[in-house]
Amino acid sequence: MGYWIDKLALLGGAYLVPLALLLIFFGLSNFYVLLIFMKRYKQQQTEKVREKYWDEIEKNLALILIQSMDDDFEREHRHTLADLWVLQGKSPKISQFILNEIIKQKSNLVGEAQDVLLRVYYELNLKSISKKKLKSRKWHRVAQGIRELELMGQKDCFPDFYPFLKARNSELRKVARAGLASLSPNPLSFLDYVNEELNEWEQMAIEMRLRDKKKEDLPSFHHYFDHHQLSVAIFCVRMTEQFKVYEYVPKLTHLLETASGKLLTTVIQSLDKMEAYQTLKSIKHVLGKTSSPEVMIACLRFMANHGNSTCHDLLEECMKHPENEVRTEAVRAAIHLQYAFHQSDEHLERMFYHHKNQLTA
Amino acid sequence: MDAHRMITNKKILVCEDDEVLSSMIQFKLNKEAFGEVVKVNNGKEAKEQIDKQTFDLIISDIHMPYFSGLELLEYIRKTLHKETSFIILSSEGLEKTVMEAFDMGATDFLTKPFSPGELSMRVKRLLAA
Repeated sequence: MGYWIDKLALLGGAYLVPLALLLIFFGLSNFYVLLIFMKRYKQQQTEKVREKYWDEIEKNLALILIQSMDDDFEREHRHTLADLWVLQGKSPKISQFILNEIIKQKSNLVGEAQDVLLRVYYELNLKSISKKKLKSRKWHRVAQGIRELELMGQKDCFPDFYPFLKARNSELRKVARAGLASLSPNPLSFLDYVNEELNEWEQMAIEMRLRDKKKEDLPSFHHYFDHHQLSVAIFCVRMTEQFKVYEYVPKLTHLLETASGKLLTTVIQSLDKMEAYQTLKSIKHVLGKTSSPEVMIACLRFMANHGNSTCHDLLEECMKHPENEVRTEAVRAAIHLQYAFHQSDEHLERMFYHHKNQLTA
Repeated sequence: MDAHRMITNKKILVCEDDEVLSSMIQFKLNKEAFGEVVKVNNGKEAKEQIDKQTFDLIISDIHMPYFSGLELLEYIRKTLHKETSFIILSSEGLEKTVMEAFDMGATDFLTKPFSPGELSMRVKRLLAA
């Protein structure tokens, strides 16, 4: 008896386990297919609503904008607004379509038209759609809500972005930081809490928002020159140069003494682009004590643009540097500064004219 | 008074696939009483209108279905050899795009966002010329 039980158990094990695995796989696949189907169905339903009401939405929005150019604006506006209210009641998706169209038209038009669009935005309570998205568990919905509030210039909403400044999802983090940079009176305040690298995309997104600001509303970049995150410090130095904040030149000059590596190179390049010729002495001091080829090259390029005959000694030293690129930059700077070769060193002379010929060819 | 009379009875073609924007432009230009304003939503319709009738001014977005604004401009200048005033509207203010438009013979270039009032002023200036 025991033999047969064992035999059955063995057979069961041989077949039941694969059967169970097959059933699990089948169930999961079906579930996945069902999820895709539901998603597609939802998209189709949204598209159907859009097709059904889109013409009416466009017509009413166009009317509102047109009416703003008319004398009897208020009366006509109330009628058209009522039509839009009625439309909103037909489907919850319509408010989102209207919001999308308002955002689009805001990017097409300036002046009074923008004020009219903003007015419609408030009158139809479209702000609440975006704010509701901030409570979603799906990161892309939250990001969409932040973006909408940012595009509609809702400055009172930026505190709602704080929870997402350190989101694990990098895209959401980028959108939240960019939103804050756009709406907050202190655009770079989130940098106080940044512990990870500020990547290139985030930097670009923040810079784009800063470009929309007036000079007096720009943040104090110098607060972050000594940030523990190198990428943040470099970003702020670059922004100082990009926005030509000349009052920070003394702070950048001071940074020449303490910075090293990539940060130091960036500071020198920024001072060069800002034409801070008054920092030549400090740059010469850096060139004299550094051993980094990258830093030397940055200093030599600065000298080429803003140097004078007091740089010749240093240039001669750099022409003897083992790195070819350093030697080339030294010769380039020498040509710019109209250096007359007078050394008795034949090797140096050959090298100088070799590089000069290459540069002037 | 004479200057104003000169800029009526004109025919303007507006080529813009954004319905809300094109309606606004049409309304604004109609309000200024420059004349007849014809509105189309894509490059194909624009080409049909241009083949059918003569316009004093064409205002066109760069990006449109079928033919872009620049292709339309090229068609007017190089195929039809017409000197119709042509304003390009674009959301890109890239120097390359602007230069390309003027190289092809555009009379003016307006970057979005723009104010309808500004567009109207530029139209008035071109039609009065």
